[in-house]
Amino acid sequence: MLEPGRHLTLGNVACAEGALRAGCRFFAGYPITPASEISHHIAAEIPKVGGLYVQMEDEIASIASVIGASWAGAKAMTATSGPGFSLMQENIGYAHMTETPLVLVNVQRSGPSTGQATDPSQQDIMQARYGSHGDYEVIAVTPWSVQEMFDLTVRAFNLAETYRTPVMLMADGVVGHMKEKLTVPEKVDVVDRRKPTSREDTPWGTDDPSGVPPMPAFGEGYALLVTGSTHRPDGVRNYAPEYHQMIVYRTRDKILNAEPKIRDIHREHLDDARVAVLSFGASARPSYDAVVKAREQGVKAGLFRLRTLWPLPENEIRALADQVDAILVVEMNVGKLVKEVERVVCGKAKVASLAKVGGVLPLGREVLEEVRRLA
Amino acid sequence: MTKVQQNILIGGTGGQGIVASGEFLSAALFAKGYEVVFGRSYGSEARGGSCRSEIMVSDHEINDLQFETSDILLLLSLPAYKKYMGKAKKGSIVIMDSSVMERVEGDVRDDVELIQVPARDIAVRLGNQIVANMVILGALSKRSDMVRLDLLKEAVERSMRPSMREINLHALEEGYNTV
Repeated sequence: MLEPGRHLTLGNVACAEGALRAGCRFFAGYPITPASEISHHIAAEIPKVGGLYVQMEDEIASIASVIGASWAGAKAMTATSGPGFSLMQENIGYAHMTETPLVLVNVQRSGPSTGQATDPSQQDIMQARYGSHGDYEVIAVTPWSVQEMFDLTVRAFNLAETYRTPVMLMADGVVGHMKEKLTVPEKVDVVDRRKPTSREDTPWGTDDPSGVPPMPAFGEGYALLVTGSTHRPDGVRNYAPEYHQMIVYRTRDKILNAEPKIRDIHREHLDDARVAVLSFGASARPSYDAVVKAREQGVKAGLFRLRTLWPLPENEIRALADQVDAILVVEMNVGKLVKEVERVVCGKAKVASLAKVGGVLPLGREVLEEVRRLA
Repeated sequence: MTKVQQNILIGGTGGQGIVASGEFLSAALFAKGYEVVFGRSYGSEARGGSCRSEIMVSDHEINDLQFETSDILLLLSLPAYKKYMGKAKKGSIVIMDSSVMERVEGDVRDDVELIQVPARDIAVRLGNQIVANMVILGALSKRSDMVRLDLLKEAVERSMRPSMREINLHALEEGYNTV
């Protein structure tokens, strides 16, 4: 692992370093551009801290073994890109239904299908939200720098353990495949999962206001049943409507009620802004550059950057709409987040889209032109 | 303090060490204390496709991740020349392998500082044409205020596999002495 201090580091390596410091001790994956360096680095480093790396036969098996490792008590992770993310969707639903903490990294590339395999995108954000079948709430974080590939990976593990849920690090090929400064701290804050303290504790039901039940591991003495089918608080399968409603609403509410704590917004120059640029991930870098340049030209622009993309901080976006005249949503896809923003803003401010496909990041100049047009 | 940012573009073909030369150059600049953003782009081919390294170097935090025009352009192949020559700012440095220059047809820009280096010939003489990229970097270190030969050498010594270390160090020196 890297020593504490300043390093010129690849985004994917920073992600792997963050994972190991957050306590990741099991990684299963299948190689894919532009995510493979995460596997490479974990494979080299995880044995040194007593962990296990397994290259699986495909992405379906990768996430399945990560779920298994989590139930064996390990903090576990997998990393992939678009095609692998598609393959993982069924088991992502299984992880939600079984409330399995894990971290899934998607270094997004340009699709559909093989598409532009070596070029970046942010096209999978709705798949992260809705990709598996059924009703569930997801937590997804979106890094814009190499430093955040480290910091948000640590946070992803902590969120996964706090809320006992899969957490997605929705990176993109730009931040995964670039090198810039990483400052490795002496120590990171690490959250460990809450374990049952008595035989009365049930793994799928709790009176705790957080809605997060304690999680035993196999081999700790509990009669533990883990099933993707609808189950009672003790894990026994039961398809009754009330049990299904109980699971769906509790697992939804444990995320949505905690949204103010999960929320992570980076704001710049918004105090007197008339135009807000709302963005995330690598797209937020040219967005920020455009905001700085707009300010130099006397245009009152600000940046509203989502470091947590899901759950969407709807109240904060509504408050932003009350304050500014226009919101420009910048993203590297055909225009997906903008529809969510339109829904939330509901006509309170003008919402405009700068959406770019083709495996290329929007240019700072393009964002600036749009900001000036909206000012 | 005014903000100084230099945009460096290295263009060539997969297999020429385009990403590797970006690695050594960005490591050398970072070691000097600069902020560096190093991006790479390549096709799905292991060899022979279009390939480029983009390095932004600054004495301040770098907001954006890409640039449209270069302050320093290093060209190692004819397709890269055709694709990227137009990106060089007026008056900026362009360093090019002279064996590529020989195959250029038509007018060549006269509003840039074009430096030809027999990089491939030197590399072949040293025993492996793959080090042409390092000859070009050596030449750059002679002409640039930001890039220092000793830091490039340190980067090579730090991360080049031992069997290739000597030839790469020689390539850097030869490039430096050619300009």
